Parts: sequence; C-alpha cells; structure tokens
Amino acid sequence: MGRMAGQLGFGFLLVAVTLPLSAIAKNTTLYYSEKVLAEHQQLLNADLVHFRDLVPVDADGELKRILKLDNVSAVDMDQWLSERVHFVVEETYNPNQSLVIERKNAKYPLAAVPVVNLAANEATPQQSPKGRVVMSNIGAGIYQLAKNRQLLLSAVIPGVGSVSVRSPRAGILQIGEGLFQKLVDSWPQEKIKNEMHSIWRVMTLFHEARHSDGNGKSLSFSHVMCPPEHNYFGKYACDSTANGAYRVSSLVIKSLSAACKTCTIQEKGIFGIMTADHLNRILVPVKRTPGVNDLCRLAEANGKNPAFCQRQEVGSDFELDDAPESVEL
Amino acid sequence: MRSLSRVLFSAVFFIAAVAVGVWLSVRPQPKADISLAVNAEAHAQILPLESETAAKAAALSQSSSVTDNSDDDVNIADAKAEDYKTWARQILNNLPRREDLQNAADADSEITPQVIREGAADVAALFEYASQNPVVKKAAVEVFKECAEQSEGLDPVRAYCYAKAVRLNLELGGDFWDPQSVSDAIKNLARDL
Repeated sequence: MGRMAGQLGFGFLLVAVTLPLSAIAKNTTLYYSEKVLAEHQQLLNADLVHFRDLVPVDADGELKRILKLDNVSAVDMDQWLSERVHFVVEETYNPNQSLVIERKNAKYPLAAVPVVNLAANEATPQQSPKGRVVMSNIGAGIYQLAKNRQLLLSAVIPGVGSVSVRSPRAGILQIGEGLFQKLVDSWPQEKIKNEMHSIWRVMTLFHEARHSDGNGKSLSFSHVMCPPEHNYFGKYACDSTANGAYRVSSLVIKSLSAACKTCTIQEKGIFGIMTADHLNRILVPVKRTPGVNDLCRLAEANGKNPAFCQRQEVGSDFELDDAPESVEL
Repeated sequence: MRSLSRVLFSAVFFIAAVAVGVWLSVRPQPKADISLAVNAEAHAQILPLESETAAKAAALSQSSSVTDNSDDDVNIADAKAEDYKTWARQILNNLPRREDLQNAADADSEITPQVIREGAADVAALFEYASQNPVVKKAAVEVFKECAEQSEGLDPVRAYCYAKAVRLNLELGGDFWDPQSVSDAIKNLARDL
C-alpha cells in the first residue's frame, strides 16, 4: 500500500516538475477500472472532449459564483471537474468487497457529521427504471463510512490499483448502463451519441463531482428526504443547501443547453424541464439574479409586478462551506 | 409538305410545354406548406404517439398546395390549429402525474426520472411545433395554460408550460398571464424557461 502511494506521489512530483503550473490538472482525466466497457470509456472520454469545445453561458453570473470560477469557460469548468472526479468503476463493483483498512483509529475533523442515508444516497448507485446504474460518487460514500468508523480506507480498483480515500475528493464514480440510455424511450438508440446526450452525461458528472466537496455538516452535500407535498415526497432526492449537487447540476444544464450547437427546440425544452426539476429539489431559497430572459423582467417590461417577482432576494444564507475536509494524518 | 407541318407541330408543342413548365415553377406557393410537411415528418420520426397527427398534417399540406386562395389559407390555418389541438389533447391527457412519479422505480435517482423526461419530450415537441408554425400559436397558448393549471401535474412540467403560455401570449399581444391557479413556487421555477 505504502509502495503504491509512494509511486503515485513520485509520479505526481514528476508531472509537477515537468509541466508549467498553468497546465497542471486543467483537463479532467478519468482512470477506468478494467471492467468498465471500452465503449463506455470511449463515449465518456468523447463527452469530455466535446465539452471542452463548448462556450458555456452564464447570463446571471450564478454558475461562476457557485463553482467559484475565475472565468466561466470550458477550461475553468474542466479544471473544477478535474479536482473532483478521477476514477470510474463498473456497475458490478462492490465497495464492500473492495475496501482495505489502511489504518484504524484514524483522526478526522471533529465537525458535525451530516445526516447521511447511505442506502439511498452514495453507498448504492443511482438506478434507472429498468434497474440500471446511472452514476454514483462512491468515493464520497466511502469517506463518510470511514469517518463514521474512524478508519482510513482504500479502495482497490481493478486495473488501476489501490486508491487511498483521505477526503471526499477521492473522486471514485460508479457508472452503469443507465448513463448510456436514451433519454426518451421512443427515440432511436443512436441518439445517445448526439450532442444533447453528451451534455446530459457531462452534467451528471458535474452533479456527482459536487458530492466530492464539503466538510462537517456540508460533507459531500448529501441529499435529504423530500417533505410532504413535494413531488418526491419520501425520497432522498432533495437538498437542504442552496449550493449542493442539484444547484450545481441545474446551473450546468442551463449553461450547456444554451451552449449546445445542435440541440433542437425540443431537446432544449427537455433540458429546461430538467433544470426546473433540479431546482425544485432545493428546499431552501436560492439566490437568483434575473437574467435578460427572466419572466420577471418580461413582466416589468409589460407594466406588471406579479407577486412571485416581489419575493425578497435571499443572500447566500443557505449556502454552506464547500471546502473539502480530510483525514488528519 | 407533310414533314414541314410535323416540324411546325413539334415546335409549337415544345414551346407550349416549356411555357407550362415555366408557369408551374414561378407560380406563387402557399408559404406554410413546406415547413408543415417538414415538421410533420420530423415529428413522425421522434414521437410515435403523434404520428397519426403528423400524417394528417402532411396530408393537409399536400391537398392545400393546389390552391393559393386566401379563403383556403384561412381554412388551412383553422384546420392546422384544430389538428394541433387534437394532438395536444392526446399529450395533455397522458402527461405524468404526481402518483406516476411516486410509483416510478427511478424516483430515488438523482437524475430526472423517465416519467418526467417523457412528459418533457411531449410538451417540448408541442412548443417546437408552435414556434415553427405561427398559425397554431393562439391554440398553443390555450394548450400551455391548461397544462400549467393541471393541479396533479408535476411541478417542472407545469413550470415549463407556464413559461411558454406567458411568453407566447405576450408575443400575440396579450397580457402577462398571472393566474391564481398556478402557485408562486411554480411561477418562480418558470422564470428562466
């Protein structure tokens, strides 16, 4: 284990001294378990290449603010992603059989541990109707598990090696067939290679990447149970923070939908409804800056001031610190 | 003499054929027909549910191309609007409801569940068609209003419909639509749509 860590450390040092500072970790590089299908690896890598060609739109500045980007560009967003996702494992990967205890009585920050539903959240992968895995940040789940048991764990990934899980930033994602599904049943299967589907998969990466952030009560920005009257009542499908994974994915879909070069009006409409779906899962007020196409601006231009536009602008009261914590070595 | 008359007859026939050809190619064409045919074909590819409607629209388009009479144009527009309403009725009746989401196997999933995506594809197709065929916009406003007011409907779909109803209505010179039947939460979700 130590030798592996040493090798990784040496490799990083070698890269660090041979590349200019600006070139380090700009591009998201995914290291795949050897059991991930080659076609899935190719498609996901192609998605990232395509994403780097997009010109993200951020009409209201919220994407820049929430992701803390210097600039809203594919380069900056890619940098953000590259710090949070690293390894990809297959649908059948079983963390329970792949974890190695590196150390017992490990010391973790004495911050509040969030209420975590491991069963519905990160420990089990997200599934589509036919029981297919979509994507899950199991690295964050493993870190939480290790923290709860005061252990330092590493995950053994076939073909990659042992990955020490020292923070929620371990960035181990589990993917499955669901990630490569067509979004509408009646569409032809070839559509999964089109730009819309590519953007959807990248958005899913950004959503999962947010689970690599946080500390104490914001650790991994875990989802919470949706309350009565909510469309998802009883499901662990909501956020109690205004800068969690749903906020990130709602901003990313909106931005990349606007940047999409070949999306039809219908496809952009579906993205719009996905944006609303993700925003609707945030249970606290969200800071909004009316963009040029905002309905409230339209109302104002038509001499109206409807009640929903008169809400007090809420600041960042419900946004939590997103700095990642880590085990104390 | 006989061969001279044959040559003359052939020349006259040739000139007449060319004249008819030129007239056929330069005569005015009804404007909306091409786009309707194209859209009908596109819809038939992506939404099997509406294939019957698309076929009807295509047939309507073909039959209308033999005339450019303005009364007929009005009739075509009315027929298109009726056809659109029929298609929309089919979609509105099948939009996902709260209980569909509660029963969905992927409702726990972090991604937008299949039932919402299917509903989204349907209402977005209605909007796409309306945005490309101005003659159905008035009908579309009513369709999107009804969709936004479906109390058992799912919030994100209702929000999309509300946004489209407001925007299309304003485009047609109407007022900003702000009904009590649509909650402020849904209107707020709709702001950027």
